[in-house]
Amino acid sequence: MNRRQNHSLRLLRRIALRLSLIRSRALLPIPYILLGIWLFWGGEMGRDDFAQMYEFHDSPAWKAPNAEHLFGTAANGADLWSASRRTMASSVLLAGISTALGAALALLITLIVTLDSKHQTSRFLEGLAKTGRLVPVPLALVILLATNGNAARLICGMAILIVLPLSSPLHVWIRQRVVSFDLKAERILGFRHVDILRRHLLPTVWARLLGASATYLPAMVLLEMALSYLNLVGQRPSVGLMISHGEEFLIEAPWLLIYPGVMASAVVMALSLMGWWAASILRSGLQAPFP
Amino acid sequence: MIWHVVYRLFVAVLRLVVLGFALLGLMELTYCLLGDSDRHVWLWDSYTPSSNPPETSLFPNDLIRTKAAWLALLQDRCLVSGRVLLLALLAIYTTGFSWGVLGARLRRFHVARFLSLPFSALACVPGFCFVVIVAVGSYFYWQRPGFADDLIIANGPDILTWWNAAIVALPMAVGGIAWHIRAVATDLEREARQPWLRGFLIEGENDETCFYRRILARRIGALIQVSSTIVPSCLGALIILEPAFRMKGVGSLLVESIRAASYPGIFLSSLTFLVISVAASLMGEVFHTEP
Repeated sequence: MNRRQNHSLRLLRRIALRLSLIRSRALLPIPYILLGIWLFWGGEMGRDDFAQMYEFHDSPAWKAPNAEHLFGTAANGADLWSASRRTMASSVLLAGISTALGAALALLITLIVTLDSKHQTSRFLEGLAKTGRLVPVPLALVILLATNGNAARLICGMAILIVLPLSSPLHVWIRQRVVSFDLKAERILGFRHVDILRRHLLPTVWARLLGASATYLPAMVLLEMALSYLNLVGQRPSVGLMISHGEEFLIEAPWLLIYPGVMASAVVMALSLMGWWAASILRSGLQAPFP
Repeated sequence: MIWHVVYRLFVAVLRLVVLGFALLGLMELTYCLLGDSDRHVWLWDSYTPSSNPPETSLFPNDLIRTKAAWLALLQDRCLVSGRVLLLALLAIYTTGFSWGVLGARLRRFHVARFLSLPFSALACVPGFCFVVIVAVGSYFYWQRPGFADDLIIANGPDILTWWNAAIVALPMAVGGIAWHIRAVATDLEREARQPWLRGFLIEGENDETCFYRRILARRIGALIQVSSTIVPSCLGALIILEPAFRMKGVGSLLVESIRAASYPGIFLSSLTFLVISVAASLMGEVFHTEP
């Protein structure tokens, strides 16, 4: 009796098996996508709209939180929930770009150093990274943003500073792969460096790097908000700047200060949880930097 | 042992020199290359207010000081920040270390995760937002001075200073404890998985003795080094939290000096942070001997 399954059934079984194996990884982007859609729905807030929210009026149109406006309204009557969400989107976007840029930079530098045959370069850069990690991150950033601080400078600064903590684990992961048996065999068999890198080294390192970057994202969001709070990133709409402006009205309208902070905490908590999940699935083995 | 200490001391001094030059480079980059200032960091006049008449000076009046006055100001600020750091580090090291050890001891129940969870959740609240909300709440609901500069005690026991220090230390401590529990537990759990431990268990040593006498005793140096890595993060948090709570510490001095483009203020406050950071790292390295 011929018990062989037909081709489509075998294909379906294979797909199902593959999906069950990668189900965690396949599900991983979903919460990020949902959070992104929720945050970015309605676009970013313009600077003029933001400035009008905190303009001083003789008879301000603000309202305390109620059933209609969960977070209350600003001085121009704008809904604070919507404003907090849109400014939070801007903070997350900036932190995301910085983290991605920093991770890419860390990968590039670590690859160059690790695959370099001269061992001294690697040791020198490792020592430099150890020294660099002694600098409190906000210290370097507040000095960098002291004159004409803007988003571009903040992104560059945060990206450079994320390179230091990421480069050490990256160095270890790449070394682990470089000295592994299959890579050595491929090198002996005469495969090109580029092929080995593209097919065998990068896919494993790339997944772990994504996990590590996900754990750094909430810390970067907190840092961006803190620097905006100190008015070092210009007048770009941000939750930090909302809290900073809200302080001016803390007696008349304390909700202008409190509720953006609540929104920021909730978003950072969501990003932290997703970061832990990503790190455990992608086996980055890194501790979240602070939160 | 003495050579080990001398060597680590030499490395620490070297690191401090490198970081000092990096700091000067960053100041030059920010103010002269990215900004439009012509006061280069290598010019002595840039550090003395005498070359700038007060009316056109970049230094505000409270930052125009002689060398002795600068040192006295730094001493005052260090005292204020020292209190905050003392409270925060005390909380981090006692709670973080003991709970981390407990988490590792009860590793089969994943206790470390549950112990660090509330702290991790609280660490998601932006620290600057927390201190401002506490100040507002303190003023409105408890009819007490809100921000740190609201009331200065002239006579009698100055309990308010410690209350203010505790408010700033709390967000730092929460994040630090969460990180420390996970870091200590991860390190001890990794050691507990080492194959040499099985020998002692086969010999009949019980799990508790093995944990405290073998694993913990073996890793105590490494744990001290792990603990020293939290110091730069705490110092970074000071830079954000002190201006937010209007507390006159070294962090506030740095931000005030940056706003006033005062090179001596920036250099002295940054150098103070770097010295503390390097000293903490030195302590960790002196105690750490890889078994």
